[in-house]
This record gives sequence, structure tokens and C-alpha cells, in this order.
Amino acid sequence: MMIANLDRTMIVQFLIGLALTVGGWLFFVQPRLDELRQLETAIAEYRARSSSLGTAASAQLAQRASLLRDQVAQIDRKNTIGRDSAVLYARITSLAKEHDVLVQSLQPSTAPTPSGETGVVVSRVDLTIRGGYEQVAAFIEALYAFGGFLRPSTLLIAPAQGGGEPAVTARLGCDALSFTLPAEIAHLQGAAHSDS
Amino acid sequence: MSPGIRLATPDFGLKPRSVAVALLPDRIDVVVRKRNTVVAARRIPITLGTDPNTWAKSVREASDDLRDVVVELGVERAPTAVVYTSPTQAVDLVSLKLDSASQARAAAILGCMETIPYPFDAAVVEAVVVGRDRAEDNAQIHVVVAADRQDVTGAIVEMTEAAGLDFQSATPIAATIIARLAGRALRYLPTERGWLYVGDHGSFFVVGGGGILRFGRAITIGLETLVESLTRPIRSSGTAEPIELDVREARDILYRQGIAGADEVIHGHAPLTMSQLAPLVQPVLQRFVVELRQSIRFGVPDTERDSVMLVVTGPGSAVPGFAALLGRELALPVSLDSRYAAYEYDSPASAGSEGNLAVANRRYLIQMNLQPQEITQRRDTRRLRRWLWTGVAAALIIIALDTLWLQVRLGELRGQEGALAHETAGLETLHHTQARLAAAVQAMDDVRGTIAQQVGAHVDFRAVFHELSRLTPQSIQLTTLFFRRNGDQMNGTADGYAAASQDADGQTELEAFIEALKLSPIIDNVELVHVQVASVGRTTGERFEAGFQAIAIPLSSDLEATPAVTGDSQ
Repeated sequence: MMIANLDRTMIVQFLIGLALTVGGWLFFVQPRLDELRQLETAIAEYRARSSSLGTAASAQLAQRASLLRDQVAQIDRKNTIGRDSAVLYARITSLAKEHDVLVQSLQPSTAPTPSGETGVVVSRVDLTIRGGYEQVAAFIEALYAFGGFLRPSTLLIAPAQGGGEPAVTARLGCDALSFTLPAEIAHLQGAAHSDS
Repeated sequence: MSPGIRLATPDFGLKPRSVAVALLPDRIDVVVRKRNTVVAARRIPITLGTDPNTWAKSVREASDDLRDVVVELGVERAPTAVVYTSPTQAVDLVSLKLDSASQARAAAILGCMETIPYPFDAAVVEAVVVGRDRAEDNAQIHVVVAADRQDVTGAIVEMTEAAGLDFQSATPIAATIIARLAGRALRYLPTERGWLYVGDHGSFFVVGGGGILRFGRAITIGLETLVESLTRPIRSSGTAEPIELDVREARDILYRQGIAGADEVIHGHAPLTMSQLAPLVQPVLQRFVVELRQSIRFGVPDTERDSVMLVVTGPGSAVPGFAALLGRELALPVSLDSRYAAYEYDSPASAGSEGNLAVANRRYLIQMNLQPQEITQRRDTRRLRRWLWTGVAAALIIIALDTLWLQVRLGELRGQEGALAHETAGLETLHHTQARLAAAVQAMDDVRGTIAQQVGAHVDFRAVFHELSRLTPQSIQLTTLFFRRNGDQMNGTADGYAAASQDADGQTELEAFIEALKLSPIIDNVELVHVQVASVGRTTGERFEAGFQAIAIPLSSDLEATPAVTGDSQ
């Protein structure tokens, strides 16, 4: 009976009212609800991500990076001896003069070659020196401590022939090594240089 | 009965200003109420015919006069209840023995439809349940049913709306008065009592007591019947011409002088006494008394008949001597309704006027609203439409509030999300840096491992030379020392010449030398590789070759280990 009383105008008005309500909901509320849900999800994800990332102390990281750069700089300096034979010869000559030994011969036996070990380049150097037993010993000790990656390969010591004072001749074969820095720390070389 | 669900509820009596219109055959009484207090009233004299069509036409034509009054009173668009008396109305009190009030109401409506003299589809019928007897057995439900032609009530609606009023209801005066009277009788708990309502255009008589309505009966005689009888020609002994009173004079005589003594002068400019008027009203009064007597005889048991007290109410109770006359004729004690003591028949606002009495009970106005079906439908539609748009407005308000709340919440969440995104981006960068640093530390550890493996340990040749010098006796002469690196070990070979001599234990110098070497902390794996007897000049001895291993000592690295990098380092 009630439906019978509803005329067309009423139905149209009902539809308009319904459309207004539904439209209002869809146009104003629904998009905001969706955005609200998205934001809540995003916030939850951010929070989960934040907790999973932890809280690294940036100051400590900077300190470690600085230490790492120092080490890279140190390796780089030591690598110079192995890479640059002129530096090596100059240092040997300087050491010989310092320890009062005579460098009779100094020659690279081979060009720098990669060793079997990955990232290691070896330059073989042979030198013959002459001097007092004590001076030769001190020279050899100083040679391996002067700040490069030097590794003794062979050493032959024999009494020197001739001369007034007792002397020995030492034929020393040593490897000057340089280590190739991996990509993870190679980029710190420039920073290390600029820092130094 | 109006079809459909009744949705329209008149606002009459609820709004601050409402109007009651009493539409009577000779007048329209307009009463303005403000919260149930009469604040203004007007009377419009009209003459409505007895023919239904003429009546409806006259009602429509009365709208102009009504409009003037409405404008004068300033009650345009005020909710208006109309109570009326029409030539086509049918009002009855029906008593039924049924179980439920709704059944009784439906039965009363159906019964009325069968008795009305016009097609029921042209009629509008409504009913109101007045109450149920308090008796345990044979309790009846009393229903007042009212009916009228739709075109007649339609004319009332048209008049009301044309006058600028907001039509709410149209109810026959008789219906509301009968309902009131019947309800009063049902609520009366002591012994039998009769209530006689004497109205302008009809009367109603009910007898009840002990919560039971004995009977109710409409009597077609009213005060206007008496007034009409008084307007007939009166022959006076002193005058040749008969005297004819007009309606106003007759009404005035009735209400002011009433049914007075026989010799009392009851008319000013024409010397009339009641003895001259009595022949005019006597037949009417006689008929009225007979109707009442018959009603009491058939409605009240013999044993209780003498104890019935008659209460006269309505405008008739204000007619002097009228109630007393009835009491004498019926031989019953009579009392008057005190509410009519100050009744003024010519004042529409007077307490007890039929218009005021009829609109006093809002429930009866609502339930016996005889508005045409078209109006009902229109009101239902309007009400539905109002509900619809109210609902839509409420929904839109909720949507607006929801939108507002969501907007505020979105603002908060957007800010929160932005801050978290910024914070997380910083953490991501930090985490990335941390990861790169960890990779770099790992790479550095690898490089350091490689360096340690390649040059991490070396032989302290100077110490070895000193040790050999210290351990080599005078009898042994070392000719060459040769070292060769073998992996991370340094193998040494010492060539020399040992003089042939023995100590007290029979041990040769060479053997002693080898033993001494073996005891050296920086020389290891000493072995005599080769011995050959040889002579150097005149000295005999042994040429030998001793092999050993110079112990390498870890190189003091200045490449310190880098602390590990972890995600949660503090």
C-alpha cells in the first residue's frame, strides 16, 4: 500500500536523494578512506622498516670510515715501493749509504707480474752489496723495515774477496709487492689522498 | 476508511499558535490558541444549506470571509483543525463483543460503510476506540465511528487552504463529543449515572457506571430546535398581529430567560410571557423527554432506574430551567455541569462552546480525521518526502562530518608519513653506508689477510747472523750462508770447514756446533746435510753443509684491524 502511494516524483526524489548520498560518500568519503588506509599501511611499513634497519650511530660509522681510510692510505704508501722501481732504488741507495755498505749491483730481474695470489703484483729485485758483516746485517734489517712490502726471496752471504778489512758480500734477491685494493675500498684511495 | 498507511499526524496543539475552526450550519467560529490557551476568537455568521452540494458550495464560498479573519488575526499558515457539522456526516457509537480493539474498529467501520447513504468509495470513514467495559463477562468494546462524503470534507479542506491556513484535520463535532461522553461514562466507577449532552444541533445521552457503558444514544433535538420553534408566529391577546421573533431574539430569550415561570415577562419591547411561548416549545420538550424516558426504560434495569442520577452538560445546561424541567419530567435527580456556568452562547471563545469542546481531545481529532483520501495521500507523500530529504540531509551532514574528520586525520597521517619517510630515508642512507662500510671492512680484512700471508712474517736476518756468529767456534769457519724462501718459511744452508778436533767427550767441533745450533731459539730443523773430510793446508778437517730453518717472526703490522661494522652498533 505504501508503495502504491509513492508517485513517480517521489521515486525520482528518492533516487536523487540516494544518488546524492551515495555520490557524496563515493566522492568525499571513500577516496579519503582509501588514502587513510594507504597511509596507515605506509606508516606501518615505514615503522617495520625503521625497526629492521636499527639505529646505527653515524659518528661511529664515520670513525670507522676514517680508520679505514688511514689503512688504505698506509697500504697505498707501501704499495708505492712495489709499483715504482725508481723509488725502491732510491731508498736502497739511501739505506746503503746510511749503513755504510756498497751496492755493487742493483737490477730488477723481472718486470712486475701478477702473482698467483689474486690482487698481488710482484717485482723481483736482485742486488749485491758489500760491507762489513755487521753493516750488511743492519742494512738487510733496515731494508725490510723501511716501509714497503718487501719480501726476501734468497740471500747468499759469503766472505768478500780482496780488500783490507774483513768484509762480506751479500747477494740479495727480494720481492717488492704491491697489493691491488678491491673495489669496495679502492674508492677510499682518493679520499685518503685528499685527507692526507 | 482512508486507504494506505496513516502517516499524517496533525500538528494541531503542538505548535505555538494553532487554529480551531468550528464549522456550524449558521456560523464559523475561529479560535486561535497558543499552547492550549485561547488568545483570540472570531465568529463569522453564515448560512449553510441542508443539501450536500449547496452546503459544499457555501463552505467554499465562506473561504473569503475566513481569509479576512485569518489575516486580521495574523495566523496565516497556522495548523488548523476543523470540527464541523454537515448534512452528510454519519456518527455513531458502536458497542461490540470482540477480542481486540483493532477488530472492533474494523468491524465498526465496515458496519458504518453498509449504512451510509452514499457509495463507500466516495466516503471517508474513520473510527476511534473509546474503551472497553470493565466487566468480566460480556465486556464490550465501544467505538465511535464517523463517516462523511469525500467531496464534503474536500470542500472543508479547500476552504481552509484557500483561507491561508494549514489544514490538519476535519472531524465531525458530534463524533468527538460522543467519544468524550462515552469515555467519561466508562471511566465512572460508582453506580449508574446518566450524562445528557444537549448541544446546539443535537444531543447525546449515555448511561454508565461501574466501568460499564450501558448505552449511548444520539437524539436529533438540540437547542437550535428550540430556537427554531420560538421563531414561529406568537399570537398575543393584546395585539392583532402575531409576534415573530428572529433567530437571534429567540436564542437570546432561550439562553437568558430559559424555561421560566409562566407569568414572567421574557421579552422587552413586546410583552411576552412564558405562557405565550410554552405552546411553541412544549412539543419539542415533550419529544425530548419522551426520547430520554424511552432510553432509560430500555437501557437501565428496573432495579437501578430510580437511582440513576442525570448530569446535564453541554450548552443546554446553560439554559435556565431546562435541566430542572427534565428532572421533574423524568423524576430523576439532576445536576448541572459546572463548566457551563459561565457559558456565553454568543462568544466563540467561551468555555464549553462546541468548537472548543470538540478540539480539546487531540487523539479524537487525529483518529477521526475525515480528510479526503487525496489529501491523505498528498500528506503521506509530503511526509515521506520530508522524511526522505531529512534523511538525505542527515546523511549528507554525516558525510560532511565524516569527511571533515577524515580530512583532519589525513592531515595528521600525511605529516606522520612524511616524517617517517624522511626518517626512513635517512636510515636507508645510513644503512646503505653501513653496508658499504661493512663490505669495505671485509675487503680490508681480506687485503690484510693477503698482506699478512705474503709479507706477514719474516726472518730477522740480523738476529740470525748474530746467532750464527755467537754459536760458531773458532775451529769452524763458515764459507757461505744461503737462505731461500720456501712459502712462508726461510730455509738456510751454511757451508763451512770444521777443524778435526775432539773435546773431552769425544765429540767433534762440528757435532758440537750442530748441537748448539739445534738449541738456538731462532733456528730450527738443523741437520747436517753433507760432511766431507778435507784438508786446508796442513790442517785436516771436515767440509760440511748444514741445513736449517730460520724461524720467522710475525711482522709487527701497523695495519690494525678495523672494528666490525654491525647494524645495531652503539
